[in-house]
Amino acid sequence: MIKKCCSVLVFCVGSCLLAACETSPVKPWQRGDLARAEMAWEPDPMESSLRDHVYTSKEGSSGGVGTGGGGCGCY
Amino acid sequence: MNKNKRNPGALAALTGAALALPAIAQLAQAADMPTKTELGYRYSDYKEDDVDAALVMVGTEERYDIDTHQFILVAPVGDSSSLTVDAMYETMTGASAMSVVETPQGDSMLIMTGASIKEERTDLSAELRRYDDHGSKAVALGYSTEDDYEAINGSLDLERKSADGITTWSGGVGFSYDELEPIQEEGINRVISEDRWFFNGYVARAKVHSPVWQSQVGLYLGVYDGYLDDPYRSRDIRPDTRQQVAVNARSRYFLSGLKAALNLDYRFYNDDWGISSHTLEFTWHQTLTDALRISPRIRYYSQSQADFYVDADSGLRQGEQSSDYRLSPYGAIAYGVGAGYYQSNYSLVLYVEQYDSDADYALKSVSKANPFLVDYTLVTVGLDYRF
Amino acid sequence: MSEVGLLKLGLCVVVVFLVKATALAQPAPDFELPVLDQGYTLNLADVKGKVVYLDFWASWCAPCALSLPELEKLRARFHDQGFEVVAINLDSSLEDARRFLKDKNISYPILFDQNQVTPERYGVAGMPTAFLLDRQGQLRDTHTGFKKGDTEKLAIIIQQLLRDEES
Repeated sequence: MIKKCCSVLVFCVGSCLLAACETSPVKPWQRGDLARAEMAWEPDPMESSLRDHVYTSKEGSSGGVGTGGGGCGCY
Repeated sequence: MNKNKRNPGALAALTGAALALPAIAQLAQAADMPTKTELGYRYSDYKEDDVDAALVMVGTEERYDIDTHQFILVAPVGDSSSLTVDAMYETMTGASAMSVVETPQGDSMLIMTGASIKEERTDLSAELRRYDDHGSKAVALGYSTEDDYEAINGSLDLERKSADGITTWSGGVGFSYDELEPIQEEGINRVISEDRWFFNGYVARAKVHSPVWQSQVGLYLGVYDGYLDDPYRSRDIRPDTRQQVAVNARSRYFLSGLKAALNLDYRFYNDDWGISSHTLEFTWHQTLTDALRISPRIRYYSQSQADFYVDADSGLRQGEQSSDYRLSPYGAIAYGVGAGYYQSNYSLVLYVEQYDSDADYALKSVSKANPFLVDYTLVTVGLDYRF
Repeated sequence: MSEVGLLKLGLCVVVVFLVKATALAQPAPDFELPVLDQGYTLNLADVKGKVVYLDFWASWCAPCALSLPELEKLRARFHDQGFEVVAINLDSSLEDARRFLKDKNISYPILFDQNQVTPERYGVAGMPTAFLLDRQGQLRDTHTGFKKGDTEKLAIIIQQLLRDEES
């Protein structure tokens, strides 16, 4: 269990460090590429929901989602 | 003519590991408020390879073949809300493993359920989302039904972005209540009616790092409580609860020069049944022309076994046990390609995926492979219309 | 009233004051930018004496796409009275803007800001953002985002500005 916790912790810390090493914040008008459909978390929600359904039914694991953020960031 | 014995549990077995997914897993894909109404349709043909005939002791080698129709409607409602309605209809034929037995020589062999069957499943869900200057909040409800199974689910979901729009926090909670009434067969002593609850929640943080890079990390928790056995297996006794935790990370990077988006997703999963898994998926979205995009993809999956997983069933064994391959140690490699033709008011898409699972693909070496590990081909065609 | 409540009220007053002050006192920063595919440039002096809706937009921004035909309607309605829309496109590639505009019938000038300097100077905090300028070239109002119902709200403000100047 301790080992598992450690790996989760390392992962979290790692991603935070990764997030910290960045330059000036992106301006609202610089998000054209981020707004592209293929840059979305789920570029085709129907396709990914079907695949998730298959994976969840056929494998021993499930879960892990998150929404929002990134992209156009438009008003 | 067709006197095949109906296998009532086919779909329950198909979805046995986690019957209905709470709505957050299906619908939580909010981005910005939609400005157009969108209608989408997908048709998918899912076909599992036959089981190796040499591994079948009793029954057919034929595994599942599933046709899926998906419909979606995403529409703006007024100035600051959107409605998403999702429908799914599936029909399937095929058979599943009822038991894994060990021959005197020590080989694992399968006893399959009946012969080919026909089953259907309907799934409906709707999400209402409200947007404001700082993000959005949503409520979703879903209903799912099969011959021997019924479920309702619901979820709440919240999204908050920083003033500069760089960081976005999202979180949600969901529940599902599933009722199972296995169809009875003479001579087999099955449970009459069982149910279970499922609760889950997640929190995620998305961040824009540069004009071409954004990422998201999330933590997910799920808790099952109730009947979690597979009623159609000859001997299947599982704990009454299951607690899951998953951490996932996603990265989206755009190569401006090549006009290619590199999507990388990773998930670490762990539950108190003893299963740990790693999932890594990489997609290269290559823009070819203004309207054409092609997206090759590869996905790797590896899991360890559940504590109570057994290589073969035995009527003499007491306590928790299951020979379900989904609880066995194995790995899987899926590779596929998607292609899309995109216009401002419509798009056409095609996806093909080949999935192969094998005990040898697992990260750690496996002493004995489950004989029912699945290989399948999934083909999807679809159409979206916006107005 | 609690101390926190008072503090909040105080902050609100300050914020409202600041917004009003900037909205009323500042002259719009000047610029000179090429008009898309027209072979000439335009600066603020060229539209002086008109009530101007200065719109910052990009082809990838969904609410922007919604706004363009609506702005065209507003322009058609008030152009005679001295109203003009000036749009500054912020696409990183001119091609994207051209492709987007191909099947739209836009008659107001669309400027292209390759260096993306103007949104910085105007303090654009999200897409789309627009500024309403009176006939003296003073910033009078800010409009962020674009929803279907905004056209009528804007029409009222524009009418007000057009009337203000006449009297």
